[in-house]
Amino acid sequence: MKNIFDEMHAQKGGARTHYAQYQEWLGQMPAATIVQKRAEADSAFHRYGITFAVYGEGEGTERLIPFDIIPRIIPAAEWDKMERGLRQRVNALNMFLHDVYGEQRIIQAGLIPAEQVFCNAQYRPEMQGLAVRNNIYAHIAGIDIVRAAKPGQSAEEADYYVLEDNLRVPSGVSYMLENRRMMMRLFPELFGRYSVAPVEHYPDLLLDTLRQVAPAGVDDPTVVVLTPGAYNSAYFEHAFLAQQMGIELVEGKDMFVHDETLFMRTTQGPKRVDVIYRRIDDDFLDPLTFRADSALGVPGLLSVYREGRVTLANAVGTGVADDKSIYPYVPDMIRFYLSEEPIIANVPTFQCRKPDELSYTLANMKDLVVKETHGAGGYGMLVGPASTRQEIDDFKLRVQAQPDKYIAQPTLALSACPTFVESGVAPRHIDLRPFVLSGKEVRMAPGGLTRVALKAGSLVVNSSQGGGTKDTWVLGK
Amino acid sequence: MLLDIHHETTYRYAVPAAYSMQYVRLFPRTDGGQRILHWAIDSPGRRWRQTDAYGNQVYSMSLTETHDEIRILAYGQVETSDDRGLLLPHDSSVPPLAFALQTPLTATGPQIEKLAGAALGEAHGISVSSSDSLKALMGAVFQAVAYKKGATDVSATAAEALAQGKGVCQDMAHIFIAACRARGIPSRYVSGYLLTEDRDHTSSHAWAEAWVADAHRGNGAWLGFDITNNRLAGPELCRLAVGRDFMDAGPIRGMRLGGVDEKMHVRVAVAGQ
Repeated sequence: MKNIFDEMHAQKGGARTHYAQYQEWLGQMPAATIVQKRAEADSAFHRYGITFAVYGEGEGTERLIPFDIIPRIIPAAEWDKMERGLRQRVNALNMFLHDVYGEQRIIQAGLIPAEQVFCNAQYRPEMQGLAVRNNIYAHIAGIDIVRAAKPGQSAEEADYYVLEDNLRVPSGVSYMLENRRMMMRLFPELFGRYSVAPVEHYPDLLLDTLRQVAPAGVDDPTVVVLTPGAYNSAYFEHAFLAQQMGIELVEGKDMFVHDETLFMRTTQGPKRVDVIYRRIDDDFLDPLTFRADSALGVPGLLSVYREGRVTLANAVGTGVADDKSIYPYVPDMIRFYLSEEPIIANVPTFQCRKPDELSYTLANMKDLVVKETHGAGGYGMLVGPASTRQEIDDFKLRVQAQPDKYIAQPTLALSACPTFVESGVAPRHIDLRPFVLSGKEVRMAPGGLTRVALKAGSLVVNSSQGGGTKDTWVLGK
Repeated sequence: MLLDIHHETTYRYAVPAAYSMQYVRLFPRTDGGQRILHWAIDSPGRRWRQTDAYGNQVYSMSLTETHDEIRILAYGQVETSDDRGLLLPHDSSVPPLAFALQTPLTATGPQIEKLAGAALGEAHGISVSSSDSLKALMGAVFQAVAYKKGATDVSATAAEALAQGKGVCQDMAHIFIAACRARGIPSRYVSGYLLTEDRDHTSSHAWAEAWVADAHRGNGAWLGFDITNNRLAGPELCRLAVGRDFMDAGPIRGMRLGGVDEKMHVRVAVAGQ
């Protein structure tokens, strides 16, 4: 692909304005110092225990998510627009969820086919008619954004697109925070040269958001983080966020329901819990409502939730809005609920459930990215240009067997950012996951988590697929 | 018809339980052609009553004192419509379409597909069906599965019960529902009571409702199929709860801490007038 937007270097001549100082600084840095700084970062991350369990590689496989010391820099004006776009999108997604589990106006209006919503495995009938505080469902949203040129466009025409919405239990924010801490520790002088918008107040914003959505009549809510436990791949993040917010990290077995109330066991006796920042999936929350074999949740939790006496963040059933089969309708949601045009566009998407889009997908699979609508984390997808003819033929059979389970998108030339790799510094594809918080208002820490595909040419940035991360700088105005 | 119902469920533990939490769906519905004349539930511990998304009355019950027994008694009198095959309008904010999606208990398989194909024809997306083809399906399930108490436990899937060729009313309902959904027909589980002379059948019962075309209402209506008895739902049935499957609508779902060696005893008496 020739039309790859390079975040640091303009196609004609030198570094982009916002990278100029950095490039100059990097050029003066002796190679030995770089090697030493990278080693320092690695050993510090190991020492803090920031690792990530990888599924599908046998039990207990833990891996350090590689950290790259070259930051991803976003100019103020770009972030300004992106922030408005994120606020708009997350507002519309929350309004959609409130509508689906309430009046269902968007379906009556004929904008989204009813079966796409109600026959979706992520739709939770239990939420129908259940009131949630401030009508907010996705309190914490991770919106994956890429910068790319569309086929036929030149690199410099590249624009930002939303690739995916994550409204269930989006993870990765601890890396955003730790990456910044690491950069400030390794290169304090850089933060003197650049005015970088701070992100370290994110835990305060998160706690404030969670307190804002506490049940009615609770002035000083008890907020907890619910984790599935130490074997979960994101356990480090659960513990980290609880510690940063100064609140309890609990497991399901630490809580119980009695008399319309959720309690946690403490050394001083039972204590009422008002808000749960839950990092377990819907299916495991209440074994008396969802999966009976779940030992991770709290029996009876849904009865307290239905009573409006505990807040779950995120709410149950948010998956119906971030499912890949619903994604193509988000721009319509923005127009329908807000009467606005989307500020950040969707990636053009073919829905294989539609016969002509299916035939297009089958005929052009070598150029497309094909995704399972229920897949996540880079599993269950095919990147056409990076696949063999055999892989493509096998995938075609899967799509033909169940077309409504797949969508397809053009292979975008994701932007690349210079990154340290074995051969030196080379461009690698990146994306961005900003974390958007919705309580009484919508807020976010500037930037987000930049993920980088470390393999040359790879477009898969997921940490489970060997991706790394970078610090993300939003520059001051 | 007037049904006098007395339903007692007792759990006993060899080693006492320190805590119990239960969802209890033992309060008859007030729609679907039936009327409650009086009804009461006796139970230990704290309890609170809610209407769930499907319009069922659910009692949540919690018990924090040590106990070696839980006794839940539901009793009262319900008047049911004398009509058989009553068409019921949709009754909750969960749309009928949501009942077209399979659940783990109703997941389809080759045998279910075969049953569905024979009675309902080929799959063609979400649809309503004629009550005649659904009656044929009911007959086919009735033929394929012999009623046998204890042949399955509550976690049996439709496919497992069908493969065995025997089961109880819950299994027959799940198989019927699975076959309907395999052809895009919304279908749901009903739990309730049955007035029966047959001593082999318990009076605690389960059957299914399918979404059928309704000439009078235009869009559709629920029609009850008592598969175990191979007939449309009639006055001998009292509806307690509906849901996607047994997990949503079953009479009691609970868990406890401690309470080793549980013995459950159920006594149901239904008398008709």
